[in-house]
Amino acid sequence: MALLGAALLLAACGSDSGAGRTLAGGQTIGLHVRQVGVTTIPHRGPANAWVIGSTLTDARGARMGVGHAYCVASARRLHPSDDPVDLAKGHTPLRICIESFELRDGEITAQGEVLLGGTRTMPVVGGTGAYLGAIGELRTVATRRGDQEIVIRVAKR
Amino acid sequence: MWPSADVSLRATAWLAVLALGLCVIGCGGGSASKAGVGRSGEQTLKLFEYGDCCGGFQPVPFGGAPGAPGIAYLQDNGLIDANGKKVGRFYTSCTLEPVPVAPRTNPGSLCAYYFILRDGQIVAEGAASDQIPWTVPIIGGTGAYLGARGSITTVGITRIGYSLVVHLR
Repeated sequence: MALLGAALLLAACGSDSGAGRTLAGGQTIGLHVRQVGVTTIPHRGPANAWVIGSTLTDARGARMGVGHAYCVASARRLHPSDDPVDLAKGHTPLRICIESFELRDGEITAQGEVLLGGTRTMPVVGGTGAYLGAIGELRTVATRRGDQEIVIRVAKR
Repeated sequence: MWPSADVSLRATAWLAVLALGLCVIGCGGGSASKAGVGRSGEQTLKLFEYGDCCGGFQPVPFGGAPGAPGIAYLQDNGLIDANGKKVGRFYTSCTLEPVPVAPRTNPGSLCAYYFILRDGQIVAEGAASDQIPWTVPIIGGTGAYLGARGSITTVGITRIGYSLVVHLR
């Protein structure tokens, strides 16, 4: 339940892992995500898509907003080391999600692959309000009993 | 009804282009891992898909009964550069139109394309055409491609899949 953290303004986001651009003047938003509702598509039978609603809180448990996600899954997913011939045999599902986070001062949308357990690193593809024209990325930093701690790094283009 | 082989091939080709890539029309570095918006200036990469063109094609059944019609599909495959070096993988997630819209002969698709490269991800989204070339906008990225913008054009279908040109700006 604990929210990782609420929005720290970082001058340079120097903690970014891996190579890549830095988000000068950007903002890092830590959120604790708890799913409160999952609707499968279709409602009956094997489901290959889900709509998920979540509450978003900060590190002190204060309400930060609401999360929404739409995910679709295949019967398997690909690893770089996979032999192409073996790929068709299938393993665990590939899952793609589009997620929007409604915060007090605007909305942030990200989309990309979600690994088993909900772990993900995905690009921020847009925003509204205070996040209008946002660029950045979303990362899962911890998962526990279905809850997730995520960090969203955003800056204005 | 599932999308025709053409449709799935199309999607695959898409990714192939990416893979092809990194062939670099205008910038240094022959591999995707060397290319990124983190570097200043525009950049063009050529990528190719490798492996069985449709091996990664996965229909998403939206009905409970076996054989229920689907309106979406996922696809994944590996990416190589012009030298045949593996540079990453890609995923495509598409939603199909129920019927063809003239003058098209096949149903159209709205697709999101995810390129997972060594130094980051690129995401593009738009309508997939049955006429080559077709282009969709890049809408985001991570790592070296953080905040990426530009376009991805499917320029051809090779023996192994699609050929893609990634234009980063």
